[in-house]
Amino acid sequence: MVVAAKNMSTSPPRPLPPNIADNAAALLREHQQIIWKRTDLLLSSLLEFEWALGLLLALWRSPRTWNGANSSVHPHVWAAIYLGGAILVAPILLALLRPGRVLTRHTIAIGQMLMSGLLIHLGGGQIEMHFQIFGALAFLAFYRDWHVLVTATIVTAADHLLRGILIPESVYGVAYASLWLTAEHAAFVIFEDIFLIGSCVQGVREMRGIAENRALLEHSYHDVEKQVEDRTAELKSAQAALMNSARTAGMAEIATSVLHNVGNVLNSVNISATIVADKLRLSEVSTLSKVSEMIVQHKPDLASFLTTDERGKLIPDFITDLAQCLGEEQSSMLGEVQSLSKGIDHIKQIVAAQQSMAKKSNVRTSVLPASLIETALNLQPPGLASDVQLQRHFADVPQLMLDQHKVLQVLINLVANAREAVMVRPAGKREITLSVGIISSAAGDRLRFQVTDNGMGIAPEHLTRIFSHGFTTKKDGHGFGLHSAANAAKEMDGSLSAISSGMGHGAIFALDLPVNPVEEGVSCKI
Amino acid sequence: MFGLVALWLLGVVAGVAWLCRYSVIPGPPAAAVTSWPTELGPLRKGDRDTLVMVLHPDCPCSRASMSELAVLAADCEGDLSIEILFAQPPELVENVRSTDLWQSAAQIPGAMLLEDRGGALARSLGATTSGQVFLFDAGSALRFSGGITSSRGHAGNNAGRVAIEAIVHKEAPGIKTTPVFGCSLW
Repeated sequence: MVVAAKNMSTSPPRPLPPNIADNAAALLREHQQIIWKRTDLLLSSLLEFEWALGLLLALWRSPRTWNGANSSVHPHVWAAIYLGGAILVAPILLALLRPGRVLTRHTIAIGQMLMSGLLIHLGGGQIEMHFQIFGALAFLAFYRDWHVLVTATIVTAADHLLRGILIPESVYGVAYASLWLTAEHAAFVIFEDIFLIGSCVQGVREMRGIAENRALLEHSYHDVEKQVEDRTAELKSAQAALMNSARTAGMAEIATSVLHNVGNVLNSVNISATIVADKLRLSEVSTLSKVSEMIVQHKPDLASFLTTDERGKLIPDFITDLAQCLGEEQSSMLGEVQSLSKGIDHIKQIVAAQQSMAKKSNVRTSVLPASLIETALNLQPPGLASDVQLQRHFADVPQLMLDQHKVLQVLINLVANAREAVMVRPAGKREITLSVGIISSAAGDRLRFQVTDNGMGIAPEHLTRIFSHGFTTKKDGHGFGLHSAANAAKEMDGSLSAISSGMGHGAIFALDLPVNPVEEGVSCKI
Repeated sequence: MFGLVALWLLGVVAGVAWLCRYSVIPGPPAAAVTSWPTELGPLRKGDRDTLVMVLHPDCPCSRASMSELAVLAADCEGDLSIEILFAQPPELVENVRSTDLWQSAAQIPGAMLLEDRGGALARSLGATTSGQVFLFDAGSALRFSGGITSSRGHAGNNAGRVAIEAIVHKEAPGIKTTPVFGCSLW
């Protein structure tokens, strides 16, 4: 049994570091205090019960004493009331006022043994009543403090010893009792004590083991807690560094986004500028200067030169044709310059929008949504109309408050992508459908711009990634266009989504935006 | 605090001492007869010793005496004739047979229970205290007189029972009288 108990011991490997050992000792004391206080209350309650039991026993067994025909209350009844009451006074008071103290539990031990003696006496000394002694000892073992058992045993031994010497017949039934008889009686108590004391010692050993384990756990817990604090501090530091990096990276991303969008517009600006330059280089104005030189040369005889000279006779018709030609040139260049101007204006707006985004503000102006699609088409590189069959499905959507430059940014991207996508198809079979309208959704009415193409389509595994920063399927792509477009949509409280049935089945891109009606007298809202 | 506990302990020990003292104060000594009194009639069984126990019908202390008598009856079975005399004081009016003591006495095998209304028979024995026993030999001579409990109402090993067993078993006789612990008969 002892071996089994040792095996069950929860003691950790020794020795413990001093600080943990101190904590373990404190925890053990705390645990013992809990047990002692609890047992103080338990055994003081038991004493009250025993007192009541003694009174009932006295009233049942010997209620009255007789002297012939006369009777009076039996002294056992008074003894049960007063002596029993006196026995429990000190233990109960100490249990209530000073629970957990050494003196308290030893006083309770004395009280328990005295009360047991009283019960044995009131019970007429029956052998069964002596079991009370062994029961009381077992109850006292609840303290897990073997010293208490020693005190209880001393009380019992002293009772037997003193009464064995002074009134031996009251204990042993004989007028003379040797010390051996006392020892014989005490032996039964000591026999039980051996087991109970062993149990108490084992109990304390196990409690110590538990306390040491708990101290180790607490130590580990504090260690972990400290490590967590250290790591948290490191994380905060790393987070700050990361934020700086992110800020830098963010700035780079913004710059990339701006450059990408500006680059898109610059394509058309560049083409317009080239056209203007070509037209200027090939302009008939140089021919006019030759005619002008001829006129200056023949200034003295200009009339005869224009009427008689073969070259002079051609000049009036030439000037008429030249005027018509220059007019056409002017008209063409004016259109290109306007396109150039729009492009430059869009670049300016991109920069302004970027600046306003940096200030976390949005600029909304009253605009006709369909016109934004037209503008986006106009800002595409030339040849779109000839390369692709464009279809327009514009619902009757009134002017709304929109951040037109962000919308344009998105639409230019979508149209450019659609154009590239359909180029895989042979000429004549490339279709791009542009639509705008109001849709109803759970969140209310939404303005939807939709760009549908019958181009190369999107693989299902790419559908969830196409808006990610840096993701592209183009050979020369950067993965910024759709990412910045999606961000722009989000900044407008909208969303950009894509649908495709797979490679070769085209794609549909939809820009959904909140419907913000134009308020009376408001043309611009920040 | 230790002083207060010591005072408490002293007080309680004094109470215990008082109780013990009360327990060992015997009843008044009996002016016992020396031979079988004629008032009791002839000896019922002349081939063995006869033990007569005199009881107050309501004495609570005599339960222990009755318990010891039961032990004695078992130890001396076949060698001892037992008669239990319920001495009812003249002023005490009650049905003796309904008392606990009568019921207990009726459980002892072979014991003869006698109602002694007015207590004349008990007086003829010289009994004064409940629980007193008188042991007569086959020749009617008194061999022992006294109590068979060690203290008032306290069952257990006692000198009276040991002495009677020795006499009945023809062993070396010990003491011939012991104090009686019980209620006064008169």
